[in-house]
Amino acid sequence: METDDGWVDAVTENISANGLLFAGRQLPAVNSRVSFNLSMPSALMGTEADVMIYCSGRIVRHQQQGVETMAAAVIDEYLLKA
Amino acid sequence: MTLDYRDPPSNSSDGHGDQATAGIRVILADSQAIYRVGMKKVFALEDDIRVVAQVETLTNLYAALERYPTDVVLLEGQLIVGTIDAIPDLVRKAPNAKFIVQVTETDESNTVELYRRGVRGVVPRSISPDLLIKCVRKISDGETWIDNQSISWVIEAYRSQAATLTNPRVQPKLSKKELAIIGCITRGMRNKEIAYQIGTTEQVVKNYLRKVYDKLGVSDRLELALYCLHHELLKKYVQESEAETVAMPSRNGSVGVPVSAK
Repeated sequence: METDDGWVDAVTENISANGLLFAGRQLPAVNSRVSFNLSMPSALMGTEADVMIYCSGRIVRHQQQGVETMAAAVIDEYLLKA
Repeated sequence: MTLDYRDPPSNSSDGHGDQATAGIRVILADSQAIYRVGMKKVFALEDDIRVVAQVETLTNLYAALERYPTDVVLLEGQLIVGTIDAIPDLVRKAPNAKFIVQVTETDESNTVELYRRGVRGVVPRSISPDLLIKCVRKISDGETWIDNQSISWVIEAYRSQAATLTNPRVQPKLSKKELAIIGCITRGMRNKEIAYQIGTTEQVVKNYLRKVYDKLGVSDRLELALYCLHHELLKKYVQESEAETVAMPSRNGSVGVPVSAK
């Protein structure tokens, strides 16, 4: 995931058309801009190539889930491409 | 004049910070000046409602929402005709704003779609000033404005969708053309390109897309792509098509991996 401060590793917990919930060791600050790509496998999508969704958005909150702190990002813009 | 700002913008950037002092910030989005002037006059008498901008096109509405923290948008239904992603786009771009759509006539499918896509109220163009003010206040407070007839329509649509989702045997029936259009969407094609590809007009593609959204209960292209992923919709389509020996693009044999952000 690309943030204002560079790239950070993140693991997706949940995703919807509105946004993404993810965990990571270094979470971007609330209100900061983020960019990330979603890869949808061709085997599941029935397409020749993987379907890529290029998303940009912003962090809207941090939340504690068990021992893990997660961040939620809303998707402001996206571009679909296979 | 296409974009007419009446009041200075608030200094608040979070969209809600100064609501207590500034009142309810309203944008009037209407192609007809007479309506904008009329509504502005109606709201001018109310201490707690402030018109922060007036716009006459959808493009200018996007610009105004970007510039002005807004609580409520009064949107003429005609401005979003033929733009099926407009409401989800607006909601995504201005999550703090609540949308009221003014329609000339109400019908079941349009009303249900508007609520499904995120509007908080659907009111007739002929609404009385008192009722409009009440509607704006209620919606600004976080409530939904909906008449009895629309409640029945929305509940019926909800029941119908719930029945479809909970009964695995009931799958939305999509025609070959609808599936072909979905395939084009997931490849990132624009409506105009899809129209060229399948040999029809852009308006016909929009009509198909609206039907697809209705059937699947999604509201934009991203939701549609996620739906395809979760339900392996196009995979089944390709398999069925291959079984019928219809020439389709070949799929590679790669193994599916979970969706991940990188």
